Amino acid sequence: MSLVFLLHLKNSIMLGAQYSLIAIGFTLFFGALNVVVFCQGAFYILASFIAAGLLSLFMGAGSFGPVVFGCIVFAIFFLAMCLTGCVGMLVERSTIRPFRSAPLVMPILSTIAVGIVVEQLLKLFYPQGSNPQVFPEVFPDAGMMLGSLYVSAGELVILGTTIITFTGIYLFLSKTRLGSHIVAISQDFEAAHLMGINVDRAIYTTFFIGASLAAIAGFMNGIYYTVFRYDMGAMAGIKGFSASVVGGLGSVYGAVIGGFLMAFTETFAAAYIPGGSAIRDVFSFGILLLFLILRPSGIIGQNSLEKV
Amino acid sequence: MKKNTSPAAGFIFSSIIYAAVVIFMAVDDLYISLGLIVAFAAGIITAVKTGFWQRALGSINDNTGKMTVLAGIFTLILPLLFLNNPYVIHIFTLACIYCIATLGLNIQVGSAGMVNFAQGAFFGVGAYVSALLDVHFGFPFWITLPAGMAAAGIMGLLMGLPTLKTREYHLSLVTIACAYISFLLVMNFKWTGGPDGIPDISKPVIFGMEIGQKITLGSITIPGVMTYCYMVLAFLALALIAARRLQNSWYGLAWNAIRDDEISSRCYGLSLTRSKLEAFAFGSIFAGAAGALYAHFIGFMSTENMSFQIGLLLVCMVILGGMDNLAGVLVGTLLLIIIPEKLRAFEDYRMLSYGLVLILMLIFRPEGILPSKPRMFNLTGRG
Repeated sequence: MSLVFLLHLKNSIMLGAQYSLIAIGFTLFFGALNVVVFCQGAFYILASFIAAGLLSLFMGAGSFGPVVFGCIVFAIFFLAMCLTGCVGMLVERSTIRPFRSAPLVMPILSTIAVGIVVEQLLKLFYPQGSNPQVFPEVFPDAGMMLGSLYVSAGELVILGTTIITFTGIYLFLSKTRLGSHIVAISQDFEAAHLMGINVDRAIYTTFFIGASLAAIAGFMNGIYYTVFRYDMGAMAGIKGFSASVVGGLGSVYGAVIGGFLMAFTETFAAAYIPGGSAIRDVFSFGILLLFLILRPSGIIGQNSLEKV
Repeated sequence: MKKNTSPAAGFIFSSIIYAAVVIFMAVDDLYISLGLIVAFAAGIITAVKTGFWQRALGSINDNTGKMTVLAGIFTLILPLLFLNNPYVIHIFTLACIYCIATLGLNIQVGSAGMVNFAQGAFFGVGAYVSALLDVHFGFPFWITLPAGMAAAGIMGLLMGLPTLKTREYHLSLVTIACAYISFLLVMNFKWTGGPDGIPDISKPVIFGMEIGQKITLGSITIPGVMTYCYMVLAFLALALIAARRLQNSWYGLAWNAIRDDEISSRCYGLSLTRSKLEAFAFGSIFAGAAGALYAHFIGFMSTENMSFQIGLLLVCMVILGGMDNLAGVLVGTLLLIIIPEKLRAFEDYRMLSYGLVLILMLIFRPEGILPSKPRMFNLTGRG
């Protein structure tokens, strides 16, 4: 395989990891509450801003030994993730719960509006918020050769995080009590309620996890591309939603498959179709439309029959 | 239909609102505008508290015919009041153009319950087709306008196809995807001018007179926007009549049925395919007309005016005014065009305030400023 091909492969894996993480969030929200939370992209970009702000504050504070430095960087990422998760819970409480029994138009619009508000707040009130931001380089400038391909330390961290997160989500949903509560309400909300499951707590947990996953995707974006801007969230959110629909909304595996499929299509179409890089998003949305026409339930979704 | 209220309350109410709007549009100073907004809000709250608001709205509802005539007269006089202030007429014309687009969007969002974020793209298709035919082939406006409308309608039908198997979220996602795809394609094609846009779009000509040209009648100079404004008003009137007839027809009834319950309307023999495609086609024809009017009004068209944000803004207008209520849609559009224009100093905060207004409206008054009336049927068969 040529080096160019390998590079594109690496690019698409990095992008696919982000899309999948965002898509899992969409799938969890949809499973739990039957709503699509269009502000998932806002969590993604908010987390990048929080992490970048805290990291540059910390790195300006002085020099530390490598172990202390590593621990503090990890702590900052964790803190930023938790903060974003809390914002997710806040969003659920303020703009999704009031519309639980309202027509479905309402949560679509309210979450889009939340996305706009978060994005605009970052743009207006973060110092220099309307300019592209540089994500601090926290990982050592080292790497390893995989055959002829160079993989940097940051990229290895991204790969490791992706695998750990996927495994963690799988274990959480299948092995823990709270995870099984989430699965239960996604299967039958009312029955779960009747069985004595604390529905509100399960929903809060879902939003915490979903927003945290978007936050992790945001960190990855910052680490890999090193530059981000306040308006990148909307597109990332829509791509993530598309990925979860392509995979099958409601299925975690589907979200992962869909995320990587979208990323591969986008990267390789941009690379090998002449003039394709300017309209790369057209290809990923094209895949989405194709799926919605031919197989609206997605790769892993079941065909749903609505009962009256 | 029994009439139990006199039109007096409605007349007084509309006159006050009209006077308030005129004063607001005439004021130039930022702080006075802000003060006026606060005063209006206080006035509306007092009116609601004293019960005058409900009485007036009831009176307007019971005397629709008279009130429509009154609103028509008010609207026709409005540009004349600003003879020496073309900027205000310009804004008013823009608002009326957007009104045509939101009337179309209301068919999908309000009547049929399909949240469509691609109306901005259809607006763009109408504008671009009309502008390209004009600039490259020199067709007159009266050919490019219907061509733009037809192109937007065909695009609407095409976008309707992937939405047939989808509902709710998936449907909105399809429209978002289509909005982005058309934006990116227009941005990257060479023959659309790409990011540079299309300059020098000509003005319409009617009976040998170019609309948008300054006219001098003795000592009075009529600014160019004035004639264009009246032309747009004529189109808006046509659009309103069309929207009203659609709403009161079988089409409108079918759309409402689909909005309220897809499965049962299917059980009663409605063709979902046909109704949905019709909603998309009709709605986008309105948007195409608005786009063509816009392109020839400004004389320049670029991708900025067909972005996803425009589609979102149009949806906000429909929600704010009141879904499935034509008067409400007009009110929402006028508010969201005129108020931000007046507060230009806070330009940076525009998107933020749109977002906040949308959230607050959804939480506190989800039915919009003027909620839609339930359909009324009586024995004479007129709804």
